[in-house]
Amino acid sequence: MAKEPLSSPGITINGFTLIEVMVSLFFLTIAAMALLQGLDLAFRQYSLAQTRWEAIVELWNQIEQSRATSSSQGEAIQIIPDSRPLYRTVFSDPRLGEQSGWEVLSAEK
Amino acid sequence: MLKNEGFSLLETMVVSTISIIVFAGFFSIFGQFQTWSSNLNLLLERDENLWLAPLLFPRWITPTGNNRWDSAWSGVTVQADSIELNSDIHGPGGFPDSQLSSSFETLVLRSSRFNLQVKSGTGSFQPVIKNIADFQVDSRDLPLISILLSTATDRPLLATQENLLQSTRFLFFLRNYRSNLFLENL
Repeated sequence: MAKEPLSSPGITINGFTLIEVMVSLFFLTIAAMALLQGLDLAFRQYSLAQTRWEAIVELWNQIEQSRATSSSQGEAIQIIPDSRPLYRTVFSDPRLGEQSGWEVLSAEK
Repeated sequence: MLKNEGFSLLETMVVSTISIIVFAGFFSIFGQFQTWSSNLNLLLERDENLWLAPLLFPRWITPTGNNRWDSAWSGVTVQADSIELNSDIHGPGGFPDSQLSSSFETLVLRSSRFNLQVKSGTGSFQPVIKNIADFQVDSRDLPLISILLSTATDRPLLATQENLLQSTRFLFFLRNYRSNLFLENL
């Protein structure tokens, strides 16, 4: 029995066209760029979190220092009539955003 | 009849060269991604340990020192690698009873084997924060305590010589600290 030819006459196997190769390379590049962009974003967020963490610890230390040294700083507030006033101080840090701040109320020692 | 001649030697060489360049580039990028992902993971692990400190320390440290005038112990005892915190804050009727009977009235913090460990009451030391490279306490300005914590990564970062130690100093004001509360006239 005679073998059938693998390719019929008149059919040409061209393989990938240049366009197909370019498209696949484009997708490969996009995938690689997406990986790097994701990593870059992760490091940016990490750096931001690190900066905020340092700012928060510094603020915390300022507040504790303030409580330990002098308590009668800031704006005087009298919540109950004829009582000793409380002193309101807002501690903020530009690294935490303009709207953020810790409000500390303290009494005279 | 179809005659399939295949690629010439020149075509094969060109295709091989281009393929090698393309795949080398891709795997190089992928390798970099793995390296820096691993580094980021190590840094985050180091920092998440340190980030526990502000959550735990204020609860443990700030109530310290609420002791009666005749207490046989000091509120804060600092040693080379440890700090002992005593506070008589619990007793009948909510008043000090001259006994450190409750577990939360006596705490010892120490650094041992790269862990920050805590002992409560008569219990044993338990690790709470790992990767601690340094733990220093300064109580010279009581009632303000300064604690320096340094943390390190589990292993060196890949492809960088960056200093891996992260040191943070925390201040804690002991609101209740009195060396002697007052001499009571009962």
